[in-house]
Amino acid sequence: MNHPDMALADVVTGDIGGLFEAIPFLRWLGLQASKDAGGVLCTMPFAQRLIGNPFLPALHGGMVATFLEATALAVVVDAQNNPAARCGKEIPRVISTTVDYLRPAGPKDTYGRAEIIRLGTRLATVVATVWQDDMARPVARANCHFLVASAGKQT
Amino acid sequence: MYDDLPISWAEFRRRSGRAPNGHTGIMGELGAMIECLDADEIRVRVPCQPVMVGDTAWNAVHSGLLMILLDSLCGISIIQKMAAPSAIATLDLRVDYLRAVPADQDLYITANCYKIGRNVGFSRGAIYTTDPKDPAAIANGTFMLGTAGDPPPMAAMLKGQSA
Repeated sequence: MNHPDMALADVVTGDIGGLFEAIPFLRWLGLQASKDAGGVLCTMPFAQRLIGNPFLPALHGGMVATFLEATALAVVVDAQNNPAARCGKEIPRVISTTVDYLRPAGPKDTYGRAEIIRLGTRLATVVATVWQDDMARPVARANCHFLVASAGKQT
Repeated sequence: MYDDLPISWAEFRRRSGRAPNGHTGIMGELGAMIECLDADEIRVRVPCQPVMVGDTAWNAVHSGLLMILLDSLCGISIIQKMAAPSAIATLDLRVDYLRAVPADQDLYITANCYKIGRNVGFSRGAIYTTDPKDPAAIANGTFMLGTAGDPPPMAAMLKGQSA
């Protein structure tokens, strides 16, 4: 099964805000991405289906992981959208994600930002952080590796 | 422990007193079915459905959904192994995506807790479609034991006692 070489422009039309809309599962979860002075800002608006422990209550750890990975993806796609970027420009495919859970995530909106540690011709390595009330008190962080071009297909 | 498997995740949550106001979580919403609930293995089947798609060009299941399933199952496997079950919290979770999962096949998720300490439990999980020897994703999860939250009925349920 070969991945069709879809142009990123087919998914994101110059506006990172459309990214999660193009991904059915993330659209279903209601994730949002936008850009501000600080770069890409992602939001996971609270919804009942995000709850994992209804007694605390707390968001599902897998939901927090999904949001971390989505935030990392958005930052990579945004970097790829820069015409001057010399990096792989295929749709990023996640290879692995490692999540550290730092605090319980309450039933409220969650925000995320990510930093690209390295963006090369084949690989992107990204650290994502998500928080709720206070950016200095993150709920969780993740390290994600993405494949951004297959071997032999570097541009 | 259970003589009427498979049971739906929603039913599992209701029986174990963990479905306040009918809330059975995303696993319930996705129609997960618990097929095996032994001390050394738990296995859940999730029927494929359109909301799970991450990549429309490939019609592949989204990676985040795989993490949700693996986190849930690894956690249950930990509670299974605890001598005196209490609430737990995920400390870290690593997922390796080995291959794409076609969104037109049911998913099977298994998990096994391979170490329980006083404070921390360790679990492995995997997702496959047709062949357990050909996993699509594998996970390692570490869980803190004895955190705040869960009511006791879930633990009693897992131990096969009436809730």
